[in-house]
Amino acid sequence: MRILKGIIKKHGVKKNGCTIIDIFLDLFYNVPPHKKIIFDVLLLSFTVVPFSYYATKNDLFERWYEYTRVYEDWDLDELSCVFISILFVFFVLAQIRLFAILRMHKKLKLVNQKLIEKERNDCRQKRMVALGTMASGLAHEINNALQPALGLGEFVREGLKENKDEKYLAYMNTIMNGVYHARGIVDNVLNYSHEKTLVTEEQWAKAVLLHSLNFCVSLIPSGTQCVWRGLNSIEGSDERLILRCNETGLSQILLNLMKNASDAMGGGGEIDILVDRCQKENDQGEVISTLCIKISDTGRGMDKETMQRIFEPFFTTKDVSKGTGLGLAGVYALVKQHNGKIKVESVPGEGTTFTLLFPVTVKSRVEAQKIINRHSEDN
Amino acid sequence: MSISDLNVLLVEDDQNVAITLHNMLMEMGVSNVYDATNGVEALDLFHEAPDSISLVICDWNMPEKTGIEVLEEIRRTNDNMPFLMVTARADEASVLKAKECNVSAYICKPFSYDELKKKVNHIIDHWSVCAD
Repeated sequence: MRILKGIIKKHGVKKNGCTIIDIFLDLFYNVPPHKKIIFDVLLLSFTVVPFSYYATKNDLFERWYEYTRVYEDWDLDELSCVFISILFVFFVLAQIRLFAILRMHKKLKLVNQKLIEKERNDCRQKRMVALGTMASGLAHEINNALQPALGLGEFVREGLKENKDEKYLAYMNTIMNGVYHARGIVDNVLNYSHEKTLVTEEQWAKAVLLHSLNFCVSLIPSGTQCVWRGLNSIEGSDERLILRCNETGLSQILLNLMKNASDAMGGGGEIDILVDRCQKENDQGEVISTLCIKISDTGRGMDKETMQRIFEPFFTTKDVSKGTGLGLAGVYALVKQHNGKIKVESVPGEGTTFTLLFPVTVKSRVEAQKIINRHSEDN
Repeated sequence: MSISDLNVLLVEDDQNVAITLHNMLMEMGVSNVYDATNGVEALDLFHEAPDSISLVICDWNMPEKTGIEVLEEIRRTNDNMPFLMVTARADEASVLKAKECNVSAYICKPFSYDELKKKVNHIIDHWSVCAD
């Protein structure tokens, strides 16, 4: 009763006043008020109006009355007839509301799924940031600690060379290799945690890509073939795609992905690189161009769980001696610093495809030349 | 000016790194290395005899006074003193901060003997021109 009073109070002060349907809907289904008027009209037009029309046309009430007269002991009068009719109407309303609720439930389920996905992503992001912070702190300490070994080690090596002490020189060489390797790892960590500055400049995408690809092909194991397609058709003869990038960074991204592809195929096989240009209109109606690079291998692929973790630092599926688990984490960070995106698709046993997306601008040949000249003058 | 004429003020709180840098500089053939283990000591040494020092090599992260504070203090009286900042950080913010304070050069730990020599040579070539 208290609930009912509350609802009447709530609706009573409203401009539109309060109908019994309002109370009913609020009591059972809690419909937002701005939608109530629509429901009222719909319910009235679909249930009450046809029902009353039907009832008057066929003398339903009278017939019902006649019908109930047959059983003397029921003792129903006209009022109870009306009451039953109203109950019937409410029953129909409830059916319709139930239908609406089922639909809402379906929608909510979808929204819920999206939220869960978002939360999982946020969680992953937070974990990556936390790991990055920890790793970069550690990296600075290690950098300090490496200084004596790197600074004085070379003198020891020189001294041993002068004394022609072959045995200890060999030992020292191994030590120094280890020191340089350690420095490389720390460098990767700093790359990953955005601690290193990446200077980007506007360049002709085709030339940079061609240069980077050639460079990378010379560094992957010789057993692996590498084929690239589409580079010539990304721009017309009168236009130039301008990519804001750091060439070393771009080469590092491609090299890491290509080395991984080669490893996944056991040092053989063929890497397929497809270069393409996508165009999309944004909300303001401007055309946004994207450079799309797909790197596919036919290696062993990976399952979903692995795929979710590959960009985490220190996550590796390779031998401890072979991988540091920083390659793809570094790639991810580098791609982000280029304002790009990276996607991965994989089928276990069939292969993996990495897709890189970088924003580019389309310029005419003359304009592009000006931009490129300006940068070379700056340097 | 050449490397053999250099009188270096070396500021580094980590003893191991200080010994390393001291030896690297001696191997390079500088004429003198004054060691300081923190910023306060370094500034005392500098103010005592500013003319006898021709290059400051200073760590960034130190207790009491950071490398930047030392640099700011020195720049207050001397705009031309070559100053090489040694650091384990190379993020954009710190590089910019150091540049704002008019640092001569910037080197990231860990570095090899050749890398240090290159930096020192670079400073001698470029900074003494500005100083004249």
